[in-house]
Amino acid sequence: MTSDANDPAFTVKLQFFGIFRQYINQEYIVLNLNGASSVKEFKQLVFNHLQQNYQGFSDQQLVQISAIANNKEILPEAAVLTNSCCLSILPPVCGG
Amino acid sequence: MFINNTIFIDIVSEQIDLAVGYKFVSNKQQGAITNFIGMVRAYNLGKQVLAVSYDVHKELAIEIIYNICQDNVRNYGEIFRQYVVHFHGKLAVGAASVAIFVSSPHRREAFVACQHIIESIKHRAPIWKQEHYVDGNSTWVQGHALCQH
Repeated sequence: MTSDANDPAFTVKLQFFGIFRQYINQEYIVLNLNGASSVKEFKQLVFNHLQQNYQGFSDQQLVQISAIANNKEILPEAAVLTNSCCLSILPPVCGG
Repeated sequence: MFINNTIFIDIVSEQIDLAVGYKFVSNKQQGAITNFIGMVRAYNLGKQVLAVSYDVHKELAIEIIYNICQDNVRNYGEIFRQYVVHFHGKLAVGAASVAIFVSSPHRREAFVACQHIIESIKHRAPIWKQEHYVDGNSTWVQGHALCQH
């Protein structure tokens, strides 16, 4: 993960939906980021955290195909996170 | 919930009231009303379903469904009244999971707009289904990826 020594650290509160709920027994987790990170890099951080802390979770593909969103929009993979915020990880959808 | 003069969107945890949708889109200027109602069915992929749980990111779902309704306005002009309500929680077989009502002066646009809403919800809205089966097992239904690389 790339970061600049001058980038301030910040936290991301991450909510889970859909199939993630069978692995994560809490509404959200808080991740500490050392500096600016792209959404793609952030998803790798999420996978690492889930694999280390939630027994049985090893589905990297699920994390890769899931989207990261705030309350207003889905963030593109190239978007850069720089400040503390609340986000959600959205697995493939099937409403209606 | 989102509501203005021509668009109503909500995510609810109680039984969907279809009469409210019909009333919202009814107007002297509109000559056609179309609607879609999604129902929980008893079988899926050969397995007998007892119930379905719907998980929803409420704030984002309302935002995205609003954008979907705006697609219809962009495509055909400000001719519609659109009503979209989706359920959040556990539903038994036979219950309504989503209700869509669309009205317009003429029928062609109403049909097209209504179909656009339900097809787009299935591919774009942050909503997920977990099926509960007679054998006691449950499965999250496979869906459409929102992530674009």
